[in-house]
Amino acid sequence: MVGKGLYEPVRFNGFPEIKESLIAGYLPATFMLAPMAMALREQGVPIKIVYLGHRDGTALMVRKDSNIYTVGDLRGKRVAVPNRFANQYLLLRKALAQQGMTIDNVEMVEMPPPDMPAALYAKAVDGITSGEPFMAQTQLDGYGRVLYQAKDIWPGFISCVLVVSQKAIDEHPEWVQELVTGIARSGKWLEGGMDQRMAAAQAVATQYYNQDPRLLRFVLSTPPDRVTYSRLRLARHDFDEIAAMAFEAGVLKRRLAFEEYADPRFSETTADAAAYAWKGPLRPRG
Amino acid sequence: MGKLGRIVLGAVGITLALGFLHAWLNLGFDPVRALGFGKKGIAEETRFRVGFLPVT
Repeated sequence: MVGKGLYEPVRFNGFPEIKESLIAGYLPATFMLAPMAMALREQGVPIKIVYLGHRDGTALMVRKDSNIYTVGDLRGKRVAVPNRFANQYLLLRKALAQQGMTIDNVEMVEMPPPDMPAALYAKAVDGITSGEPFMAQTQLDGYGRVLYQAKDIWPGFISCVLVVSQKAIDEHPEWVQELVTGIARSGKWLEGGMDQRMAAAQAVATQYYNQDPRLLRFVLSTPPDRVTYSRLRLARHDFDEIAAMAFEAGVLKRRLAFEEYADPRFSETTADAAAYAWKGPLRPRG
Repeated sequence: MGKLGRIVLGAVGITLALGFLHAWLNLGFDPVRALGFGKKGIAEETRFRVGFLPVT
């Protein structure tokens, strides 16, 4: 299954490398942080957001033995975020604002998500926040505790979005549509029950992420709405909120219009897409 | 053709063959496709790369 067919998944270890590969034209499409995609568009990079990757799926973790029990306890603490173009940065600002605090009340550091668990374990930082499964890893390894889940602070939280180059949209809209429809059908299949989630965790962990399947099984089940794959169509009000917060945070230099960075044509047709009819576990690469 | 002519022709032929071999092995040049005998790499040209980070 992996490496066959029209689409070739290419694994990266950091968003800066993804950004450079997109700009260079190596990647016609990629999953990317939503504010980063908006910032690239603002800088004139010819790309468009065409679909969501998922919703929720982000947490802020602290050490189990720390004395941080509320967002207010983060005052003066060191918190790691993927980078300032990450929605996790905006989420942290929102969480702090709900407690009457600002980002200046914490010491923010930028760190690649794969490095975060070790940094928390070594007490190099007091809190870490990024997309899963790195947050859950600290729980499974016994030293991390959830301070908040994204859904508690920002219901329907959007982290990664599917970004496609304008060249690909212009030259091969049918490929873009097929990709978007495929993600929509996969999402509906995943939301069909826990059996599907466990099968997906096994397949994705071994074939794509190169991680322990136990970790993804935990992420997709504890709790079941930790990561959601419904409502993936582009909704203007969601992105207006992100754009406004990114502007206030200084991530964007101006308030971008939805049409400047998003192309909702492809997601509009997915409303009636049926879930895939896969039965049983996905077969590993053979 | 004299003996000298055959030697020169053979030397040119060997040089060309070694040049193509070097280009093929080291420079990404496919002499078969360049001469119009090979099919285009359809799979290679139609792959649509999709980048991702192992995070949700």
